[in-house]
Amino acid sequence: MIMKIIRKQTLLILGSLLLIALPYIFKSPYLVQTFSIIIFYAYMGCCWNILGGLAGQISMGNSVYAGIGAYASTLLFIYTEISPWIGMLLGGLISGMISILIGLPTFRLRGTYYTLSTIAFLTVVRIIILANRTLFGLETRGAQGLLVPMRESSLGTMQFMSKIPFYYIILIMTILVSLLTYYLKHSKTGYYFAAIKANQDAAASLGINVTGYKLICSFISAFLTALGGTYYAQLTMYVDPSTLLGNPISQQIAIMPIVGGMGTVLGPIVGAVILVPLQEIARTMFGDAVQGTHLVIYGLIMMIIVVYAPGGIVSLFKKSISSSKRVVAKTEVIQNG
Amino acid sequence: MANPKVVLKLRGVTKNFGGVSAVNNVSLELFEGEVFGLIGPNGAGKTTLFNVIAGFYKPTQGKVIFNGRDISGKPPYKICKLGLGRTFQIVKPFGDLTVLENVMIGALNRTQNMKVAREKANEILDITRLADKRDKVAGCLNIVDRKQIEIARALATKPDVLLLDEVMAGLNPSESAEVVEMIQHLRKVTGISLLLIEHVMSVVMKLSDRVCVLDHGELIAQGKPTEIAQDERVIKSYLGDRYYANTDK
Repeated sequence: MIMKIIRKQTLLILGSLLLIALPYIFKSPYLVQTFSIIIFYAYMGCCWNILGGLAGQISMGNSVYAGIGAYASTLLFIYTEISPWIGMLLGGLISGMISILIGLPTFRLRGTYYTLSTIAFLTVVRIIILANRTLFGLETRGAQGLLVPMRESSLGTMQFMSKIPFYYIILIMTILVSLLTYYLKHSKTGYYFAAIKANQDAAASLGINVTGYKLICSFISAFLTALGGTYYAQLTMYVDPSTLLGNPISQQIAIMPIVGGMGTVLGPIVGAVILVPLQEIARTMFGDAVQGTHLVIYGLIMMIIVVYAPGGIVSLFKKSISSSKRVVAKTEVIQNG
Repeated sequence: MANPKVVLKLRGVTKNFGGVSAVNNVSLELFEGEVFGLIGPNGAGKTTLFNVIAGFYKPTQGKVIFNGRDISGKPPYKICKLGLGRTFQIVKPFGDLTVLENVMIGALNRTQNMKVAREKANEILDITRLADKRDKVAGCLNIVDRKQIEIARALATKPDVLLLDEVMAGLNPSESAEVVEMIQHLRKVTGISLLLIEHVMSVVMKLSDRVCVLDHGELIAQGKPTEIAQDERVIKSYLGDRYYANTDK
């Protein structure tokens, strides 16, 4: 039994071992930081995938929850010296709560209209932060952003001299969120998400509380995204409205799973492993001369994927499924035509 | 059947869209174990009436009473939980999922346990003759199978009353004979009450214990299939003279 699993999952096991050993193979801090960023995007993609891939609610503003989480934990750290680990969880809860408040009206919208509302919410939060130097009596310093105060290097303060601990923190977070996605996909909740993704009216007629399940889903996604926000703040020691609350990052975390394979466990990770290095390469090749080249490349790749492999890269390895999906597309065209 | 129990009761149900009255003051009763056919010309308000009963629309006026409870204006998922299932005229299968998974989602309405839901779904698939297609992806199937999924999925929610919206539309005679047989079998096995919208008159007349006719949102006749076929108003608004001539022979 165990041997069988090992044989079946050889690639996965070898991959995991490689991931664990990576910082000791490539010792340069630059590379370790780059690896951390790749996995960070994979993690954010996984969080997005729970809402967008499993339940089909396409958000183009999901990084707003990362921003809220990062500001929450950093402000807590500045004012009360509470460990970022606890700040992380509190930030997650705040983000989750906000996602429910926002979801109550916006989940009445369907498809593209919902997506537009997510962009609007992201923009509104960014403008609020940019326009105010203080919020709720706390100093947020507008566009200047917040510096995470330097403390002793320790696990409790989530500050380290070396980059290696950051690598392992995000690696563990990504493994956990992948396991959660796997569990969700095979649970009642996951099947209900899939039903909502496929057809809301049919789902409702089968006893599924569509709005309720959407809210649960967005709470999970926002909570986990906020944890990623705190991580990013601790990694870069800085929170500002233009990065985590910007449109580019929100689009990037959606592109990872779309390219890799929406609704699959490994899709966002595959997407990040392919796309994020491209960003680094584009940056070194074109430098500051042409900014945002990587976004152009992402756009091209996304178009190719959407046309030739709508199930994402992961689906190319599952031949039978991808061919059946094509039949689905065809029959739907016939039906509608 | 001395005193059959009323499972579903509509009392003066009206649904207006702006100035248009799609359903106007419709009252009817569905008895336990009965098959009740709902016929009428296109645009008569049949599907709108279904949508009102199943909670997709709030009635402008009137009440829908199911098993003695007022369900008018309750959301669809709550109505389904209470035991009223429906199918859609335009089939809505969960295209990326397998037939079994489609039906399992219905079965999860009554259980938290995936294993129980799977068993229940397999049972339903046997009744609906989809068993050999259980692992096929729903989106790949032909229209007959997708209509069957629609019924199977609704059945899996374990309804007392099932609303079937034109399950025969688009099927050829032998296919619809197959579905008729399935429905008759189903009735025998489960004792379910059915309210069905249908255009194929031979099917309605064969399946239904009673028939009612809707025209311009109003109920113009109800009674036994044979009585309805003789009704002047029904012939004029819907059946046409030829059908009358046919039944006369």
